[in-house]
Parts: sequence; C-alpha cells; structure tokens
Amino acid sequence: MAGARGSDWLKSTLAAVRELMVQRLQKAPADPGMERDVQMALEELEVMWEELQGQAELLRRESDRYQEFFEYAPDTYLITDAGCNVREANRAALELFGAARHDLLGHPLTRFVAQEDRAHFLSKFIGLVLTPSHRPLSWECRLVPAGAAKPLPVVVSVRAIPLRKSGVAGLCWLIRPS
Amino acid sequence: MRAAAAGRSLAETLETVRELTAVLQDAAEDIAREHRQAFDFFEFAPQACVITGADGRVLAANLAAEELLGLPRARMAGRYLSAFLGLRAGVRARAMELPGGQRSWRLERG
Repeated sequence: MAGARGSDWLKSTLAAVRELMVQRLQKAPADPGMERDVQMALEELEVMWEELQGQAELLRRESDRYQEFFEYAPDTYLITDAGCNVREANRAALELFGAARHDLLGHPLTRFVAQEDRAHFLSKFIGLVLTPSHRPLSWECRLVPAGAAKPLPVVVSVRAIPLRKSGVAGLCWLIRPS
Repeated sequence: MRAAAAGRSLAETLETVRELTAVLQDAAEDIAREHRQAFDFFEFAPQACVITGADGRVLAANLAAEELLGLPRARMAGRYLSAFLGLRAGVRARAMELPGGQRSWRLERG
C-alpha cells in the first residue's frame, strides 16, 4: 500500500525530484517546452499532495472514530463477506467466541453455529444475500464458542451492506446472548 | 549534444514525476477504501448508533438511528442528542466514552 510507506517518504522524494530538476536545468539549458512540462507536472503534484493530505486527515479522523466505536463496543459485532466468511470482528466478538482474531478472520461464521441450527442459520443468511432487505433481520440460534461445554443461546441481528449498484458487499452482524 | 542530454534527463525527471503522481493517486484510493470499510461497519450496524462530542452534540448517526428516531441525519447533526431522545417515548440510551472526549451511544427501544 502506497500510504503505508509514509507521508515522509513521498514528501522527501518530491523534494529530491525538484532538486534534481533544478540541478539539471543549471547544468544545461533544455528545451523550453520540456522544461515547462516538468515544471507544470511538479506543480500539479504539489497541489495533489496538499489536497490529499487534507482529505486523508479528515478521512482518517472519521475512520478512527468508527473503528474505535466498534472495537470497544460492549456488544459483539462482526462483518462477513457475502460468503459468510468473517472479515472483521471486534474485541467483544473475540471474547464471545473464545477465539483469537486469526481464528475468526477468514473463517466461515457457521463453524461456530451449533450443528442442529446450521440449516436454519444458512437459510436465513442465503435469503438475506439473495434478497437483501433494507431492514435488519433477527433470529435466535445457538453458538458453540471455542472450548465451550455447551451451546450458547443468542439473538443474531444482521443487516446487508449493499454494493453501490446492486447486490451485497457484506453483512454486519450483532450477536447478543439471549 | 549537451542540450540533447539535458533533454533526456528532463524527460526522465518528468517520468519520475508522473510515477509519483500515480503513487499519490494509489494512496488516495487506499485511504478512501479504508474509510469506506470503517464507515460501512458503522452505517449498516443492525443497532441504532450515534456518536456525539463530549458536549452531547451529534457528530454521526447511522441508518438504524435514523429509522429508530424517525429523523434524517441532516436534522441531527450538530444538535444535542438529548433533544431527539425526548421526541420518542420508549427510547433508551447507553453511552460509552471514546478517546478524545467523544461518546458513542447505542439506542434501543425500551
């Protein structure tokens, strides 16, 4: 990811390119057309850089706000993809499932559903993916957290995350012991 | 000959600038994608959620909050959450403090 390389890297590279260009222009005058092109490209890059910094700061502040909201929520929240594989899980989810984050992420949520309840769970899930409702859907089922002696009855509430045009990007789950 | 060499150098510099522009564009896309993921988590939560500043004014509200309170978000933004909780009987709120003095609220029908 380019952003992960850090803003300092980009900024110093930008400064180095500018310095390089100035040195070369001093050594030997170039085609005025080419010189103008380079100058314009550098100016455009600097404007982009300033704009991006402003936007990134705003978006990061908002993203942090949403992420903190869910990470520290007292309720269990999960995001799955349209194949019911867990993509995100908050701290309460790790506690409820008795699992480390890497034991949840990428794995199907159904592996934690009691065997007897899986068919019902899957029919609800498939119905939601195929015909996404604008309203959240709730039902009761039993989960089997890792290392648990007996199933845990819970109420599952789920809402589809729509794609821009049509279809489902994922699902947001809220799970509460019943 | 000297001018031709300088022209080549400048052409290389221009190419570097173009590459940097592409890097910046990629970075912008990454940031937007990360924001989208975090936003979706909040927006499509099955439970009504509202974030306020420490003063109780609404900073953000999700889709379920709009549905529960029966109010568009534009009417909530910047106003005191307590004003909306009074609009509908039977709405209970639980608050949790976030770093930076913000509070998140989970709203439920009582």
